[in-house]
Amino acid sequence: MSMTDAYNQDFGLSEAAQVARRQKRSIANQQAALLGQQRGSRNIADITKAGVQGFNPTVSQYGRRGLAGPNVQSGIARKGLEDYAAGIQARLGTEQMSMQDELNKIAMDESMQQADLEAYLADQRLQKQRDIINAATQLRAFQSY
Amino acid sequence: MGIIYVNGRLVRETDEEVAARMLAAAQRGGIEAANPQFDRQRMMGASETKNMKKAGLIGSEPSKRVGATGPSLSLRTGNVVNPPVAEVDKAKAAADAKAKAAADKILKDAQDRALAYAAGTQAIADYKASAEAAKTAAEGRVADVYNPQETNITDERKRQLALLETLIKQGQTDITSAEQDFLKNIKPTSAYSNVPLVNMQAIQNPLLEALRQQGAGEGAVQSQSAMDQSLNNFMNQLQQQSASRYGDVQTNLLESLRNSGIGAASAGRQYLAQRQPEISSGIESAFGKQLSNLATNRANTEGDIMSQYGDALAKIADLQAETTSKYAPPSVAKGPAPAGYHYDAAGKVVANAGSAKAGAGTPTATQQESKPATPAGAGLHWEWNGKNWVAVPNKK
Repeated sequence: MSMTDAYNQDFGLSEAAQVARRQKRSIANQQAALLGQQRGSRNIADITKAGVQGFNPTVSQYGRRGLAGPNVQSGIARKGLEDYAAGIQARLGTEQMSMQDELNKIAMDESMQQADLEAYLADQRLQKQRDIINAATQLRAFQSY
Repeated sequence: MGIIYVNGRLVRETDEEVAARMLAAAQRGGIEAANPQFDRQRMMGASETKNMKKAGLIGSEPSKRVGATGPSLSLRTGNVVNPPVAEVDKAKAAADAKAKAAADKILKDAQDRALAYAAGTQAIADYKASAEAAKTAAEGRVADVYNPQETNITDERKRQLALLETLIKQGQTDITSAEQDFLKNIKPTSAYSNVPLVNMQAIQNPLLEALRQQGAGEGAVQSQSAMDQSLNNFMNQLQQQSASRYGDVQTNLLESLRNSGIGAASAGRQYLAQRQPEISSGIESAFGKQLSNLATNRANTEGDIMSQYGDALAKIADLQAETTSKYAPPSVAKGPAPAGYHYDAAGKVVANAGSAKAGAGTPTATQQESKPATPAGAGLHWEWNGKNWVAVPNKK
């Protein structure tokens, strides 16, 4: 068994542990993305629902004030309803952006964790190679010469 | 054959007669009675005895046998008795005896010198052999101690270099493999591509129809809706732009990591490529130093051995010189080679090629230097060593 075999065995154990850890993290990322997506979708659905349900009461409110109704279209009522719809749109946008950022962050985390694993394994392989080189160049039997 | 004085006359007698007479005398009175002098004294008168004593032919010493022409053996003492000399030759005989004594002394001295020279030469040879053996044994022990160490150091050096080669190659392979693995897994990012950003359309206000029925305007609602849509669009564009910039940052980050990995791998390989010769040099230097120290220690040890061996050789040379100067036989001037022979490079007499005068093989003693005389009983004999006659102790 040469030196490389010995190092391959040790390194193999370390590499397998790191890959297993990486796989667990990847699964966790997938779960986090799924949960984030579900949470974002539910929030958007809630906002939409709340917006739709609140529109008619808002129209009725303008009608009681005589600002809206059949053959009546005041500027105040139109502006108020438009603002209401824009507010709903803003909430939807915020929630959507939040979900997008969360998902993209998970995707970036996944990429970075993979890159970290590659860098770690590359470092380990380089260290292994250096250890082999050091061992090969030690020539302990001839240190006295 | 002998001559005996009987009744005032000199009578010749054969060897058989001499032997029979001496046997009979021995049977009569033992060794002393067997002395021929006994018969003479018994058979001669007083005047004759006096004249014989005056002439020195009889007396306390064994009488010399009158008329003998060669040396004879004294039955009483067992000594060799020189032939009798005439009265007129006494002075010459005394001079001859003196000369003989001087010659005997010279010969005795020569014999002593030859013996001492031979003994000294043998001792020197033994000493040299002992020194050689000690040197060889010491060199063997040094080899036993140092050769394994040299082998171990050399083997360990090779092992270290091979190990280095293996580790360097393995290191290069591991680095390249790690680099490829790293680059393969650093892919262009898609984290921020096609980010599912949401851009919702503004919600249709559910009250528009009711407003128309009431005659109210839609301007405020439309204005609010337009502003919301604008904000949505803005946020969407902002997030898309952020995602795009995050993507660029991520791409730059991963690209910098890729470049860092490529650079680190390149630096690692380069470092190994540089370290290999450095470490190799260090290994060579370290083990070379060990081998050098070992070689130095070995050289010192071998130097000690050779120093001791050199001391032994010097002592041997001194002994050789002393022995030669004191006891070596005088050199004999080499005369001209006999007809049909010549001296070779070693000074040995050899036959000329194709010479009719030269006999086969080594020339005879008559063709060599004349051999010096050696009296019987000296314990020595002369041997021709190819150059000179050398006195050699007889084998017992």
